[in-house]
Amino acid sequence: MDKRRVLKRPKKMEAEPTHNLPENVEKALGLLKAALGDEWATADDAVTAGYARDQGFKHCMYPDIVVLPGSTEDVAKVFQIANECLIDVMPYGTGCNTVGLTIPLFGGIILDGRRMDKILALDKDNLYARIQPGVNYCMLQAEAQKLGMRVANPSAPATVSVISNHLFCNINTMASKFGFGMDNIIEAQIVLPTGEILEVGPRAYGMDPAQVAGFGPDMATMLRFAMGTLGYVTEMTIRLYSSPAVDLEFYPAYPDDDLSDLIEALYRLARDNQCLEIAHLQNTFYGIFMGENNKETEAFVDAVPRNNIMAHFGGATEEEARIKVEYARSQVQEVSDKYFFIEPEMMAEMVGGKIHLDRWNKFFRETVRVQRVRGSFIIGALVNSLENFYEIEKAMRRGVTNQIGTTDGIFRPDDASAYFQPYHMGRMAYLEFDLYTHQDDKDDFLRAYLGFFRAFFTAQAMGSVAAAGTASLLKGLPGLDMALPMAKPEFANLMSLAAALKQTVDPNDICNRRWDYDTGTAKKFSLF
Amino acid sequence: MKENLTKTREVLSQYREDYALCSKCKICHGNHVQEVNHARFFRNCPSGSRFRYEAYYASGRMELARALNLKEITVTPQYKHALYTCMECGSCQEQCYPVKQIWPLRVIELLREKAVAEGWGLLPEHEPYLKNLEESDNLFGKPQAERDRLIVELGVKDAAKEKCAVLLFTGCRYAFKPETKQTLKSAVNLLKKAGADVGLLGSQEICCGAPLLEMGDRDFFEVFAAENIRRFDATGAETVISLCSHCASVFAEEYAPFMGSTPLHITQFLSAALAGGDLKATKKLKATVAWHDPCRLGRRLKEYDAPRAILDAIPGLKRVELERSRHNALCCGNGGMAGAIFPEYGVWVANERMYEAEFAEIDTLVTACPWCEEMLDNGKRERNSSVKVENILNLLNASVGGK
Repeated sequence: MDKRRVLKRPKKMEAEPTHNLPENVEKALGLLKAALGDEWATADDAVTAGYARDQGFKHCMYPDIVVLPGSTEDVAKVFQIANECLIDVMPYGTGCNTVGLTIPLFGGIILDGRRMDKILALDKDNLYARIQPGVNYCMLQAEAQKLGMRVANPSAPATVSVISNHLFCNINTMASKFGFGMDNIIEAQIVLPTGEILEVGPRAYGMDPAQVAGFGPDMATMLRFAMGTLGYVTEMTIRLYSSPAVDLEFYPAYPDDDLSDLIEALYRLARDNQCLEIAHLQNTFYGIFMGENNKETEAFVDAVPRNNIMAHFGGATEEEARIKVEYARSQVQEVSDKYFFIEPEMMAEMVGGKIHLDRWNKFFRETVRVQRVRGSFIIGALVNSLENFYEIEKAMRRGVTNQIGTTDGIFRPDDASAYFQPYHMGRMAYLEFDLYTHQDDKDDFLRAYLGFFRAFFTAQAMGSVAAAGTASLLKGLPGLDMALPMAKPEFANLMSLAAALKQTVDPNDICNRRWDYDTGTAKKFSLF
Repeated sequence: MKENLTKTREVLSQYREDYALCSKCKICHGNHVQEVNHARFFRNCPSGSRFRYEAYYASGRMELARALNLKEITVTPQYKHALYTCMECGSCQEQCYPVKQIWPLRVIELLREKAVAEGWGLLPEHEPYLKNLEESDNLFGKPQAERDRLIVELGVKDAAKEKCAVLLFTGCRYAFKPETKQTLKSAVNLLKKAGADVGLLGSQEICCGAPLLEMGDRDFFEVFAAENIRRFDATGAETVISLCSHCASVFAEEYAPFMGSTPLHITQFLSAALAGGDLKATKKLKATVAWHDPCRLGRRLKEYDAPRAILDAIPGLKRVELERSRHNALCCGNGGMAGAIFPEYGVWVANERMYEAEFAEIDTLVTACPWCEEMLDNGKRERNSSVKVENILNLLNASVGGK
């Protein structure tokens, strides 16, 4: 055995701890092993190390215990034991986090859902699936497609837990027509932090998922953006979509870097609501989804026009889909004569063959493989209307290029790229703004890091609502915790309401205390 | 051994950026996401699928490397369990490297080397294998003299005494395991029919050293590598053909720059012989078969086509692909010495592979690696499967009319 001295195991306690006391951790471990079986609960450093860190900026911090429950009843037992011993519980789906959401601040239990990985039901007639937390998009998409259905595919890797991502928004290309994943949750089975099992949605009333929930409060959406603070979802029923008999691709392209006409065209198409899928993508986005590797990515970036609208029109017949495409073409042409329309065959040729275009379509619409090319930064923001896109994006770009401007133009303009995703026929939208760094250049990495923050604050100042992921990132950074409520006082009020709800369902305050600590900072500042 | 007889040595710290930058996107957990058609067949990490904790996937093992480097943790029995249950199948790296330029398999290999170098590595279950190699020069502790008998039985040249163009490296399993005798006969018969001037080293053949590399003992591996290279060169053979994919991969990856002959896996040699008309498969065999890609032949050597070409050349065979095939192939359960030291876990993985074979509705699962054959047979017995496990050489030999 290695006799080396442990220099620093990142683990800390609160100043006056009431939770996670060492003697209670030891007691809890014994109880958990007895409840779940020896194999499925451990406090071994070799295991806890794997849950201490992700790619975000949050400090590395070890949990005390990791458990792998195999059923809803197991999850209930974990919460019961955690309450008895006052140990924090951090819910964990498949662990594809980017911003430290599942890193415990003061230790406690990580509740890893990957042993619960069954697709419990797939209903072709009523278009829904019931799943467990360990099911990822790749698994569900594969099974749904066999029955002629699709699950809304987020711009996240296909290894992400469907339950986690659907609760956490799920930005997808069908959002203009069907909404984000969070709008498509039908029902859920939740283990509350007290260990009680709660059914929400139609099932709570003894009804089929295809039926309307009926009388009484429907709490099916209670867990949206709750980020594990209100319990652990052990089963969820979500809507799926049928694949049309005919599906036509439509690629209007706009050569300039000026987005005003592009936003207008996007808005029109979204408002018409004829297309099954629609998104705007700058060339870098094509690259990262088309390329099998970073080298291919760079080549594709140069091959496609700067701004592109990607739309898909479905129909029962080719004629029906074609009519929709032609109408869309006329709408876009009305906006500007600078638009040109790339036929799918030509698009395939531009990107080096149909195989690449098919791959891109599959990546973006069905299963995303690449989380991000290495060394990239992303800012996700929900923008209150499509019209706001243009100004915000322009200001963010200025913020970045001003930063980058100090570096002798090492960044190409293409290194900052935007993706606009209309939501609910353009009533609202998601803006994603990415920066790409040259992988081996550490200075470049730093410049992008600084540019990222300039762009973020610019967007905030102009009224964008930070997507939850980005907000969590901010909350983990000292100083920025206070800057956010200063910029947006309503954010602090929202946090206070969330804290009140949490206290109701989690009297011992054990479930995802990270949130409590983070919002506590915001709350204090709002009082001040 | 101080001299650099095989490829340039690396140390774990050279990959610090890799394990520090792993972004936990988890693509290392499964297959290429665009090539998954069934939920069950998404999973492709043997140890992660069995033990489920993060530490048992490549993304978690990167943390094991990082945490040890930063002295955040000490080595515990579970640390070693997580380290040595990796089958080194390379599926993680197949997914990760193209998009992230990170080498998870290399990190795991070097973490094992670090473990041995620092004296905390290896488990009691590894000891018998090390002892056998130390005392007998082969993995199973058998008298080397038994290998001499093969020269007579198979009617080939003694390469230690007379010159031959093709040196057949049998490997430890084929030399000493009676159940593999037919495969060895088939191999020699096929090589002779293809017109090869074949010789064996007999008792002069020692282990290729692959198990040692898999355990992380590079010093000991280099002792075997140096001696093998010397003996290969002494025969004057132009080609060294191995029957085992583990031998083939170390010859190609480690020995090749330093040896005078060309290393090939036997499927590579035979597919070329079939394509060139030196060998003809004429007898019809009626069966539906699928090729199980050995990790070392497939992902390591990128040889996916040669064995398929051989199967396609056999009249009457209907070849189908398993759901997890080629670069997405699932390990048989016997890689990285993990199956040897944790047999129950190895059988668990093989059981899953045999389920996949049944799912594909095949009669026979075909492979060309003795490690795969052994573990898949165990998996077949475990689930009482009707799917047969067969070496490709026996099928081809039957089709060319050999005994």
